[in-house]
Amino acid sequence: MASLELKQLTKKFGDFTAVDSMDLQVADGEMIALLGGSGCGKTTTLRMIAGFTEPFSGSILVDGKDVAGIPAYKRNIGIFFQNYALFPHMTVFENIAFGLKIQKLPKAEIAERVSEMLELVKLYGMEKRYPRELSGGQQQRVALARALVTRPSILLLDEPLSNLDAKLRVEMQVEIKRIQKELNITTIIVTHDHEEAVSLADRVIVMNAGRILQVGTPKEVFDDPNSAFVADFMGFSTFIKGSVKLELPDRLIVECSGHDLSVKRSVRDDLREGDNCILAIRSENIAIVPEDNMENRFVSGSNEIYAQENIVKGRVESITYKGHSTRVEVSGCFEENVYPAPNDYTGPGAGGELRLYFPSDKLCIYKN
Amino acid sequence: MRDKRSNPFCMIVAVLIMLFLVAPLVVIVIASFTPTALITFPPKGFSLEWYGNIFSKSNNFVSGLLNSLKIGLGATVLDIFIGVTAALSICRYDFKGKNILLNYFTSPMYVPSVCFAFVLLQVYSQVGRVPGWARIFIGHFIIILPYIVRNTVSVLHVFNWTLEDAATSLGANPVQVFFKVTIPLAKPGILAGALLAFLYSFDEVALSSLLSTPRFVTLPIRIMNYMEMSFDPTLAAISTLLILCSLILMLLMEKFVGLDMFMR
Amino acid sequence: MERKRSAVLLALPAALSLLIFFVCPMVFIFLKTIAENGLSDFVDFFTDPFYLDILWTTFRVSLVSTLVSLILGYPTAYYMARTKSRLKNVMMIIILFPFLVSAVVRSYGWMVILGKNGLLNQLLQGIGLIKEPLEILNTETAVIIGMIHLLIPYMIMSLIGVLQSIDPNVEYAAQSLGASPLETFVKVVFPLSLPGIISGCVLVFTMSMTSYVTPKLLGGSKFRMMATMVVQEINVNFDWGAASAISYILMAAILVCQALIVFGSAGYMKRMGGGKNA
Repeated sequence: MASLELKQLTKKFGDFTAVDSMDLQVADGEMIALLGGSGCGKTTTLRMIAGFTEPFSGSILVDGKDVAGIPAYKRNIGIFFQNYALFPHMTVFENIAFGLKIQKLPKAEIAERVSEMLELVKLYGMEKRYPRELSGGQQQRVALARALVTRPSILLLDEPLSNLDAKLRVEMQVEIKRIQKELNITTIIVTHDHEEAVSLADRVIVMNAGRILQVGTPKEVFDDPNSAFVADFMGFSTFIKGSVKLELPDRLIVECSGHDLSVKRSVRDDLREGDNCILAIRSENIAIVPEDNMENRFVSGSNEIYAQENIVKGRVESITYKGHSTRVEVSGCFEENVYPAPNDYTGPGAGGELRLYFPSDKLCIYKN
Repeated sequence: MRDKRSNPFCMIVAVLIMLFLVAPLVVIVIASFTPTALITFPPKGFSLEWYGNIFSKSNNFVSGLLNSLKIGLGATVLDIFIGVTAALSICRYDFKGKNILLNYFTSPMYVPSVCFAFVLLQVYSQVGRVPGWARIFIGHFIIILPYIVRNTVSVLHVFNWTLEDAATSLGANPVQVFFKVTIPLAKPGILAGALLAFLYSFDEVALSSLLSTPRFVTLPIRIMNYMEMSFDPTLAAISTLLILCSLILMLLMEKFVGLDMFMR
Repeated sequence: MERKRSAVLLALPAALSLLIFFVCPMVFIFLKTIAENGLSDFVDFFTDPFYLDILWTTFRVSLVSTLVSLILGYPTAYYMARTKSRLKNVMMIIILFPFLVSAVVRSYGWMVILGKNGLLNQLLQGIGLIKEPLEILNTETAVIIGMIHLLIPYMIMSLIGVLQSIDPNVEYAAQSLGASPLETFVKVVFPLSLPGIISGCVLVFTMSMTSYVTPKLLGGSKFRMMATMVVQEINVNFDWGAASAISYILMAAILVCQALIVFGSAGYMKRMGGGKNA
């Protein structure tokens, strides 16, 4: 168990800067996620922590001690690889025991610790099988057990859920979290999937082009991204351009294609009257106002809404049924099309008109 | 059940080709048991006389076999060391000119072995006093290297290098990673390459016929020399034994590494 | 960089061995031959019909062997790539097995079959088809038969690799669009298998150009190809000058032929976006 600190960590490949002066502190036992698209530097960061590549400059401190110069095989960092990287020529037992055999522990102790691990990942009785004889979920458990059995000070997880189907994902998500809390091990997850990051980590670090864009709790990052880029990455689907018409103490009035929208002010906005801006909102937060309800008092999801403002008329372009929700493409509200996604859509078909409500506290505003 | 995809014409050709491929081998095996010096079909009786003849001293087949084994095994073992390291250098690291280096390592394949043998012959005549075994050994050592490099590269080409990282993260130092992970996984390719290389050396004629000295002759040359003197079924007997050895080798390979290793 | 250093260290033993025992001798002897004999041996070669005939024979035998291997190997490979029958495994073993059996042994088998008192003549005379034994052994025909036997497995292996990688649904697609089986083959399967055809042909052609055992054993003393001629010049005629001219011309001929095959097909391959497998 250890704390981890990155100080001005930088990695260059030729002229390309993969990681740019990155600063980060991870507390003992904390689980953080590095979230970003491909090429954002998250994997390079992981490889530097593991010791597979040397930083260009800056330092990595584990428990306050600089690990520069310590070869990868002496760092005692457990890694869960994206494609598991199980040794195909070894059984489950041999895979898990590999690290212990390298440490030349007595046989009895190896057997005991491996079976402890098998119990932890719920794979008891599988030790004689080869990786190719296991399902994806089982392989993943073996990989996790193998990474943990040497009692590493830090655990690195590279895209831990990306190769699993939806059902297994949820199961493994719970499992990884349970094991991490049980062992109280400092853990870093690298992922491009915001749901994976948000569901697993205590803290999410959003990266792009080698830099950290936002650090926050999953809820903060999910509900209140600090830039349009992060919002896009976190799954916001509707973006509306506009300009600030009026500044009020608790909200801004933004004019978007002739409609006025009221937006709750956030702590960080420094927008002034006349500034161009972008509004972002999640599909599921756009409500559809029933046509017959002139008072604008209606139920959307589990909330009762009494809307006085931020209602805009539009025309349905297309409707895509997606199982748990319905994606509706609506044009004519603003210059941009918007995409509400109600759970249960009963409105007009393509070509029909409908009214949409954009709750002012769900709209995020960014300078453009 | 009839297979819709296969066309009867293709099947007939395929079967005929298989018969064509097997025919001479079957003929040799049958001929080896003929009691008469002239091979006739069907054989008039059954005899193991010619097998005994293989071991008669005057024919020197046994000494030829030993020479061939010494050269073949020695060259193969040495080439496994330098060929596997060469393949690793190409596959593990990413650098410009990898392909040039691979072509360099496999270049002896592109030179006819007769031509290379002649070049060596001229070099030996300049150097003088090169022992008989060394004359052939150097030639075989070079011409079989490409087989080992190529087969090892073909496994390492699809090798999952993350496995090395995984072993490293579990505390294995580079030497342990190499012997516990890399080599065991590359073994099928190395073995297949080594087998092909050994057989190439064991069966090699063109180079050996130019470089052998009267005191150091390999088995295939002994067999060819024997053919020039006599054409009795001793040749069939020794050929049958060689076919048998190949069959055993092939079955062993299938058991341990699988035949698809040879199809790269 | 440490990685670079380890790459160099790993490559070094093989690189040095090749340099000392292969590259240096080849270059040294080439320069020495040119320096001592000039080009007179090369001139002799190209002005003597005896030698030119050997070159032409070598080329002819190789070409015929390659084409026959392709024509007979293609249907075989196609069947093996597409069939699901158990026969496939047996065939695979039959094709691989000759790889492991010495060319001397295989040629010997053909000598027993094709000889004057061989199996074939005994058989034909036995059923009364011929009176006098056929002269097949020690002719070009025997050499070509032996050569095909030796090399057709290589052709089939190259073709199977490519044919297996062609999605059978592509053929079904062509047929569903109205192409007859023949059109499907000509317009779809054949172009897609071209990389395998080319690599197979280059391999078989090169191997037959340089083959030594087969022409020596099946062609007899009067039949000469380039490789057997090199050995004859050295061991029988003791004419090293002629031997080196022949061996360098052989190497050059192979390079030229390979280049012609590869570049001749390069334009076509590029158009269909293939060529990586060749």
